[in-house]
Amino acid sequence: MKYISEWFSKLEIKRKVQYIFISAVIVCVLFFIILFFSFMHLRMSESVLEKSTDNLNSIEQNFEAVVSNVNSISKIIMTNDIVTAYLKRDVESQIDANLARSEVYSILNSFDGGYSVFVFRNDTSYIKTGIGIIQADKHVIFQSDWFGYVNRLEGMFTLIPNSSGAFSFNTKTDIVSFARIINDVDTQMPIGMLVINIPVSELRRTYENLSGNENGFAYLDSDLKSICSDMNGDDLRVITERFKDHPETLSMKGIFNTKIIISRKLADSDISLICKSDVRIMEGVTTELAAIIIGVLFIVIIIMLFVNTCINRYMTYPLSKLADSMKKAESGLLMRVSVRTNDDEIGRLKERYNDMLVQINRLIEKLVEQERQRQQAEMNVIQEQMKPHFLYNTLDTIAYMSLENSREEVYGAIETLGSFYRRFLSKGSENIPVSAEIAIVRDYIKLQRLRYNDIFEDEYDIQEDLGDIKIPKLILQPLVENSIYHGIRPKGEHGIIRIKIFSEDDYMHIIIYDSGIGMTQEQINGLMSGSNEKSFGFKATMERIKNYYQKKNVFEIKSCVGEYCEIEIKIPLKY
Amino acid sequence: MYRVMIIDDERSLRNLLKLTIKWDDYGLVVAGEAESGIEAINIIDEVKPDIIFVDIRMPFMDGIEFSKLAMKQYPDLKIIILTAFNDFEYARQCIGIGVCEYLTKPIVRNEVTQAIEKIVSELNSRNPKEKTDEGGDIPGSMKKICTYIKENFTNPQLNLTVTANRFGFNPSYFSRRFKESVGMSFVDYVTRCRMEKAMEYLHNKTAMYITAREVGIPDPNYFSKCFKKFTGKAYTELMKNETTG
Repeated sequence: MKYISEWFSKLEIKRKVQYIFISAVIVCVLFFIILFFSFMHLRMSESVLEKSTDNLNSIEQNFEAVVSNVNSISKIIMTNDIVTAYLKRDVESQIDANLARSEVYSILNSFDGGYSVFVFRNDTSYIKTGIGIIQADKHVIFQSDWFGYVNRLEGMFTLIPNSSGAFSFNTKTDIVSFARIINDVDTQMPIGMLVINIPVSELRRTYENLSGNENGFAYLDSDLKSICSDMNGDDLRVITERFKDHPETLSMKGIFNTKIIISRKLADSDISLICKSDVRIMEGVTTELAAIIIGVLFIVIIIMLFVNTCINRYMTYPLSKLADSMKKAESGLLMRVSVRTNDDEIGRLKERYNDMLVQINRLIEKLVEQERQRQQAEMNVIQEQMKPHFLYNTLDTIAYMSLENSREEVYGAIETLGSFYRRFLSKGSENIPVSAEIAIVRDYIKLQRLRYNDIFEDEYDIQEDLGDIKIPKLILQPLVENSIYHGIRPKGEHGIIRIKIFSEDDYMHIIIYDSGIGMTQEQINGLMSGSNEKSFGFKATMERIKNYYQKKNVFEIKSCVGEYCEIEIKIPLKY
Repeated sequence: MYRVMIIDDERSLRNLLKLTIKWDDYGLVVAGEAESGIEAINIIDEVKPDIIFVDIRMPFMDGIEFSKLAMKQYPDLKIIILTAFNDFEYARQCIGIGVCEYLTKPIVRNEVTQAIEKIVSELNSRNPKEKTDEGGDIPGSMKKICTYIKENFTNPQLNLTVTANRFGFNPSYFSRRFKESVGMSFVDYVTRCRMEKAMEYLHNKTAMYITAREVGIPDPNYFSKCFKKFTGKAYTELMKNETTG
């Protein structure tokens, strides 16, 4: 079940709809058929039962006619003087026997039926006449149960089916024996017994004209053994088996063929008559009915197909077209879907999708633009880090020196430039010892002094034991650069740059002092808040230190306009 | 002989340019140099350059600003921008103000000479203008002119051309007549006005860079040069005397 539901959920909607409709058609048709058959079954069962009962009545009448016929014969024989004389004689005489036999014979001849007659004297001697008869086993007869029963009836007749092998014939003929005690007319004492054997063929004749394909009949004895039957052996066995439990009426249901069985106990005997009828539903289906059924089914299927087509046309097809169209997005082309749709949910889906695409495209463009700008900014930063202007200008300075100054000086300048860039551009360690940072600054200042004709002096006051403390690389150089360009040069006087590093209260203090033009409080505030756009280098340095030490107040700027400017960085020694 | 002026805040670059290029070979002479745009504006009338090399990044007045001013006063001037920025935005601005060439540092002789050759040929093909001396009676209006200078010397852009144009004279004619009637060159006159004013500031113990700005020479280096030339002593030195004495 789980597998099926998984399989189903993976199907395309088109297929799902198809399967649902096929299932619906099948269920519908099945339901219709079952309904139809149930109805037909009910109707046919009733009519079959009625017909069966009629048949049974008719057979019973036939049977009674046979019995009545035999009864008539028996009465004639019983009241015949010659027969009674034979019976009454104390000792059996061959003459009497012959007379009686011929008498019985002539009586028997006046009736149709192929009966055979035995007349027993009380001393068990007997006469016999009739068709195909050989002998009676007197031993069996007088020891048998039925003999006792006949005796007890005191002259009333009974029918004994299959009289326990008492009579044997030259032809293999089954019989039913009609037996009664013959009483003396005068004394009313039993003087003998009359047995008329009725061939089973006589019984068979009672239903012969009724039996057909759908009907079957059987006479059963008290042990439910078949006396005679026109049913096939299997049917009969099954029916008798079932009949033990349901002696009256029963119906055996089959899918297309239900058997209805009714029975009746026949008078004056232990014999039961059974009637089996097949309920054949298809026989109740007339051409008109069939046409109506097929018509209705046809209409149902047509309606289903129509609904299916509608769903395909208005849902499945537009959806799959839309999906195909959207598939283009897989190739990276975010194009608007231009499939024609109705103004329904699918149409709205398309609109939303297109709106979404527009938004996405806009976003992509925006992102691409942002990325481009970001890369440009990064590029600018890298360029800036190289300090190309400084390099180019310094190269020009050194070029001039090579023409005018001593080789020694030129060599010193190139050495300084190399030393500066080696440290300045070195990758890897983001943190360098204070001493290394100071070396960078020294080189930088040396080169700047070459360019600007000794317009300033540099002084260093560094607490020795702090030289190995690591600090973020290149935090001093930008500040020194600021001091030169924004402090000393605008002043036009010979200046001084002083760098002082010392520890106090678990902080390392780095002070960059310049005797430049200084800054007003407004300028300082602007610098600290980062609103001054020109102070890009200062701002970046400040951010780096703040981020690195996760502290805010790492900077302090003191200044006197026209006199000096002092920047103090406080770096925690324990962090 | 065309006259060349070199403007760069680095002496070494100016000297490098002077030394490495064989100016004579191109019929050129380096007639003057300036450390800043401010200095250049002040002395441009005396130098009378045909070609100017100017660094783009200089304090107080950058190369672009200077070029704009200079082109306004001398439309025939050929300006070559020197820059360490290889930046499209700068190049675009330079072309916008009529700058001829755009050379990037560090200096490569080949590039400089190519630019020079091109410009010299342009100058040669130009129709030489008839220089006509014209103008009214200078002595009559000279008083007005001196008053104008005294009132306006704090404007850093004040120079001979600006003044001549203002009073409707040909600058060279005006220059000659000014010297004749006042007894000193226009530049010397303006500088004297400024330095006299600077002395006042000095007595008030004003810092040099502020004084420089106030008297119309916002470049304290150039101011310092002028002051030393005028008084024979450095401003800072006199300043020390003021504070101690």
